[in-house]
Amino acid sequence: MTKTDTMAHGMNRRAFLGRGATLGALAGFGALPSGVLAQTSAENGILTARIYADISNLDPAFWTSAVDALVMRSIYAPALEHETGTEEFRTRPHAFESYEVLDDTRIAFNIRPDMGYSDGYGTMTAKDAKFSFERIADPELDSPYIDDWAALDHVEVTGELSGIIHLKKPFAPLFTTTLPGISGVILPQAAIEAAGGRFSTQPPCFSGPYRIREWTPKTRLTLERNPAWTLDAPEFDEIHLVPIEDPKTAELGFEAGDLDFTETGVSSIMRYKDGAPQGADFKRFEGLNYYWLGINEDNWQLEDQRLRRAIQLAVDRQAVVDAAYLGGATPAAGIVAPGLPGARDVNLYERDLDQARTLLEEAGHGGGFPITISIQQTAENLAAAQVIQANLAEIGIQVQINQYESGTFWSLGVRSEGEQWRDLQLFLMRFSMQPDPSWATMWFTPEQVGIWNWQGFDNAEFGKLHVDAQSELDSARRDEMYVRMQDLMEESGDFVFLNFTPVGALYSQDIVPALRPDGEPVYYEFTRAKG
Amino acid sequence: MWLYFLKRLGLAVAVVAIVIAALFAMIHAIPGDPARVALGPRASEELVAAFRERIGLDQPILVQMGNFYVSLLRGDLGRDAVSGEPVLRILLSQLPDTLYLVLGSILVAVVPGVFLGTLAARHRGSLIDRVTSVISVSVMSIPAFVIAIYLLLIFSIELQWFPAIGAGEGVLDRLHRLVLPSLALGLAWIGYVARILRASILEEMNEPHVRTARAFGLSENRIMYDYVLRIAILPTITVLGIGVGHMLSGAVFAEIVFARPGIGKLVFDAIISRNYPVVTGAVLLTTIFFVLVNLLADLVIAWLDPRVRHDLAG
Repeated sequence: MTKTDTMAHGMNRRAFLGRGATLGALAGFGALPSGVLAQTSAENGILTARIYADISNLDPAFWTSAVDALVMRSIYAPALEHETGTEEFRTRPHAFESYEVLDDTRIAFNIRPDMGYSDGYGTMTAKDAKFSFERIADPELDSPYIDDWAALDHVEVTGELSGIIHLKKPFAPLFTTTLPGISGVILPQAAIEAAGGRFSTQPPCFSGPYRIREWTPKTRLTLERNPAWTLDAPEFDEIHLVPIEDPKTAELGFEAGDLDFTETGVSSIMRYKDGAPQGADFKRFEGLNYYWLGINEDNWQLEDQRLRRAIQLAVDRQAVVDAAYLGGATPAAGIVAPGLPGARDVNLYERDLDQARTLLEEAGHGGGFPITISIQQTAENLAAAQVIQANLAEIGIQVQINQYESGTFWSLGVRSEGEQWRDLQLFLMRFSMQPDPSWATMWFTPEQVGIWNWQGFDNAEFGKLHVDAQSELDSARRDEMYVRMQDLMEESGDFVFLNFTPVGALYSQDIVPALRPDGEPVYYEFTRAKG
Repeated sequence: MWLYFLKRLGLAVAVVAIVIAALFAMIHAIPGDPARVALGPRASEELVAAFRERIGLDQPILVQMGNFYVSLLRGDLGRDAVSGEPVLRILLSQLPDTLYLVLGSILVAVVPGVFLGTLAARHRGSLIDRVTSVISVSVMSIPAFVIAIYLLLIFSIELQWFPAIGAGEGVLDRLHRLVLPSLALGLAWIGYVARILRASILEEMNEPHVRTARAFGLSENRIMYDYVLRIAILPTITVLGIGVGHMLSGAVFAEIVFARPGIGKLVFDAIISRNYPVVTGAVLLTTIFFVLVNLLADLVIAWLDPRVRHDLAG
């Protein structure tokens, strides 16, 4: 990639030094001005984009991060795919040419003819679909994604390219996250067996529009067009994915012309929304990932629900979100994002300091009490925690903020890690999400207490609803069930829902990015801007 | 000389063994589990337990440490807990970029530092001395991350002379991308080198052999470069040996800010994800490197200073 002409630098020495000093000072305060910098383009058929971490596992049965999934979408072909450029999540056939819902538990499908595999593995067949889906569902494999196919009974092969998926019971996420997700990826049995039954970062073959040409760990992942791909050829000859953990570094890299596309940091969203750099465009998306204040009901000091409710009533969601995201996000009314089944419109408990004080009095803590809030060390978390600290001080609760690096933080509520979970009181958490509400609720079932459910929220009705909602195909009924589940969460006094993490996409005007409704890029669909 | 070398080597082995033992104690004292990272959030408790057993995390720390030393003797540093790649291969893929960065930073520190130090000493008390003193203290007092951000803003974004991220490919591209991170990391050391060298030169100037040289009518240039600098540079070499350790630590921030691959960023990521085999392997490698650099510095001093050579021979 080469750089296009930069803006003219006709300034004198004094002006330059003055501006450099201003830029530096502003950068120091996280307020680098936009709209003044030249932008580069994706030239020579290469798209250069940032990934927030390096790949770690590209086996559809064992992937570990969103980056793995993002890469796999370009190198493999799942049965269905999510459309890009739409307001709401919609799916369309991908490796499947068509499918038909025969009844609640049977789905007939046809594989596209001539879906080629790389490395001499021939073309995709219905047998490959059977192998790939049943592989993840096989308890012997120990795939963490076994639940994606938990309802699978078997796949019946009815022809070279046709088959029927037989389910043990109806399974609503099948069409929202399983078939369009990584668990819907189809690979040939021979390739997986040649790799010893599983693999990590070196796929034995590729079924998507791109294949991996070169991977230099921590440096760059280079994808090139897959010659075996017979559908519409992707626009770029190569995609260079550069792992850059720090979003600020990525933003600087973009503004220096080293990247064509990057997701921005949440604190930069408002700045870029006000004006993207010259030659660049910016889009803000309402993400699916949800952010909340957790309250550990199993902590000795918080066992009384009145105290937890008082905390719920004292928190000013709007102020917390404004502080954490600098105006770039809006308060949430649950853990299911707007646009998905089960998204709530309002919270049950809004800020009411008088009621909060009354509850504290009733619980025998009229004078307040000391408490801790545990957070992962980020600027957003600290800002949010400080507002919560101020909010709770208004009702006499003295909050001490405990910051942890991520490795330690993510073990605080895990009960198999020791006894530290007993001391956990308040905590700020963010979970990632896929476009199905079951992905949001799965972490708060009774079985998840002490694993990812750090609140100790143990509600049998919730657990049953979570299971039943996965089998519920009536969308209105399903919507009611997920709303009810979030009501139960809030009624417990264990949760203060804060917001859905906004996503900022910054890209060169020379490209047209393909982005899902949550801002997630689908790189193989990126094109050059015309004209 | 050889005996001295062997003694230092033995000391180096002891240092490495102690560092690894301390590291094992530290990383196992903090909470966190690589299994969750390696398997993802949806892994069941049974899967997590099986994973911990497979990579030996269920063993007592002393057993784990013993196993590490035994593997080390076979040249095996274990496998990355997340990707399963051999740790040695990962380290060797990241090491060159860190070494280039450290070498580049040393170059940035030494060339202007020696020039400024010599200049200041030769013009002691003059305006030049005061100006170089101000420059030295200034570069020492500005935090390296501030320098890095200014360099990025001015030279990458504003002027677009240098790329902002990555290590590059090919010699020229690599050198091009090395300039800003090396400056960010090495700039502060210009001040250290200049100040130490100035003080050493001034001290050396008062030595009897310099007065003798002057009495023999040798030129000031010859006295400076043939007699004074040769000895006055020794403390600077010692400090630079220690400085390499600081630069290895500083490489973490430079590799993050400039999105470069390298050992620093590798260790940082590995600590966050509790990827113990990578942390241990990387610390082992950097400790060995640090010890060897300091050994090399001592040998260079012995080579340059006949008094030290004489002491060692005696």
